[in-house]
Amino acid sequence: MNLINTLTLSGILFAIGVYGLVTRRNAVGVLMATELLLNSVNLNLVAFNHYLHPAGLGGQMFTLFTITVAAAEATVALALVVALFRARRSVMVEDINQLKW
Amino acid sequence: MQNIAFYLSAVLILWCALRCVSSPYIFRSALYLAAALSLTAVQYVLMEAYFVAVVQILVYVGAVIILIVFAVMLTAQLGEGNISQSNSLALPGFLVAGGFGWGLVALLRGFDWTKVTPGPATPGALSTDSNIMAIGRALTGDYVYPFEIIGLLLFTALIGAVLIARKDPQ
Repeated sequence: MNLINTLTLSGILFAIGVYGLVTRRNAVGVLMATELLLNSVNLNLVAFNHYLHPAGLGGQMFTLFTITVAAAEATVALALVVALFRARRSVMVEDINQLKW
Repeated sequence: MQNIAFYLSAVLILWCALRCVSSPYIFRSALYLAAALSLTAVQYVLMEAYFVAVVQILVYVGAVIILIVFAVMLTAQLGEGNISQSNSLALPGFLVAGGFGWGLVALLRGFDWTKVTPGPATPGALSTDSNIMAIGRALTGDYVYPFEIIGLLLFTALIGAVLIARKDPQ
């Protein structure tokens, strides 16, 4: 229950997110791993705010904005996934290779 | 008590996150992600960021997870259990992520934190009251331009999502 423990938790969470990003085939799974990454970064920001600058609000404000951007990103990404599924009948990322030369 | 809550929620977050990236069913994966994000709100409460905790539950668990579940349902392929949701890069992925995580943790464990001086202690108004009032003031004061721009971004993202996902007119 101090800064280093929280940062360690956030670091391990980030590594798990990277693993998911690399190994998922489903585009929705890749998006979920991205959400894990953003979540771990938010944890980081709040921890720094609470332990190193308790009088300020910078970390919490940054976290609020990151959560909002994550929501916007999820909206667009899931719309892309639905459109892709309609066009290709698949959401596996290796099937999406039309732009690959 | 706080330590117990911290370590319990930390272990549960990590376990849920692991199951989220490794579950063979994408729907279960979404549920594990919801659990991990809810437990992160516990961490925020422990760090006295009450407003952030509420926003985390509302926006992530209330909105983003619902969106993801809808996307999973709309794109589910028949006999999903037979289709592998992970590619064959498990070992290289584990090496990359493990090396990366080990490097991160080693870096911050090795860093000399005594060199970092904490900022000034919390003034009375912030510590006695919860800081939700201060956040409200900051959102309409110092951070009003980011606040407006983020609203514009959300608006643009919503319109873009509708445009991308709608059926072709013909």
